[in-house]
Amino acid sequence: MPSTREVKHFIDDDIDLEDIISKPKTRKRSSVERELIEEAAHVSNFPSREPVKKKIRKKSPYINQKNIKMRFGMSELLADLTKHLGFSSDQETIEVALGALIDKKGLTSIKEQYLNLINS
Amino acid sequence: MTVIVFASSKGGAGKTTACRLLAGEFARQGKKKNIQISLIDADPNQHSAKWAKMDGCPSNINLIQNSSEESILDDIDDAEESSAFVLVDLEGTASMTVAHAISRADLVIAMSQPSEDDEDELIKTIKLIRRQEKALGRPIPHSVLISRTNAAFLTRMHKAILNDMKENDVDVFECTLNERAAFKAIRTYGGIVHDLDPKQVSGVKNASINVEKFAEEVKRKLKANMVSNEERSLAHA
Repeated sequence: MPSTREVKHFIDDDIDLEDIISKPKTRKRSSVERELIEEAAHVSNFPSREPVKKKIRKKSPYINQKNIKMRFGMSELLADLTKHLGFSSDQETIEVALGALIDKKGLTSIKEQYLNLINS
Repeated sequence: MTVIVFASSKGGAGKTTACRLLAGEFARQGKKKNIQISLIDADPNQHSAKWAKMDGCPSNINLIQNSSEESILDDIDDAEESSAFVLVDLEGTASMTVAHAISRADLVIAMSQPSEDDEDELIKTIKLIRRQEKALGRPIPHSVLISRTNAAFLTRMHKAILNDMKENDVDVFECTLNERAAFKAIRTYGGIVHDLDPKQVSGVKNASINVEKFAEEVKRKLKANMVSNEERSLAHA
């Protein structure tokens, strides 16, 4: 005879685990749904806790300064030319102009030096 | 394929304990039929993962650890492909990870101890669920589970929470998770409550019954949700 009596309890567990496995979901992730979830989270004070990625400013290649004197109005002309050509800076305009001058004069040895500087 | 998310924006509400217990009980019940359970640990403390790596953890529990805001949706989707049940243990903070996990849940178990602070955070979590339901245009089944209760009596605070939830039409588990040595002991000795040695740990039998009741109620809620989903589909058709 066992020394302890088995405890009787009243749990009516007649649900088989297999019966409650849901069907594969057809829900697809969309950016709209993501936005809705994130909006609801923000309103409910559930913010993102991911570390904020620091914006690293791209290092400019233009670091050497050369002061040259120009004719009156040439500086404005350079700015207009940069805008007209759609370049991002006056430095770029000058570099392209130098390249074009080297090509026009056929200065092959200087061309190589120029390309090395541009592509570095 | 059935996703159960344990949520509370406060630590110590019992998420990890409840998650371990349910994972263990479902694994025990599904062992003969080789039903696979995925346990996703999205809490940086990785307490669920530590338990799942111990000797004695059922072999049909598959651990996915270090889940984060960035990976949680992929982790749930991947787990759904390989397992019948996916249990997600979340960090005890109000975070976007919680919001994303909730959006994939077949059942959110919102956890609370019988305390004012826990209830405040519980309400915050339920508000998030309700906002998501509204935004997504579909129900997200959720129920409140009170943890660390006294098996002998209901405290005033416990009664107050039950009343508040009733007033606000929030479903609450009939069973609670009592404060039990056996629930803590599975982290010490590994394995599930049913496998604990009653000579080493007190109250194993009552703890086992508590876990079975909890699992039975979870199954009942999932079944009821499935029925209402089917009815909704038929109505749409």
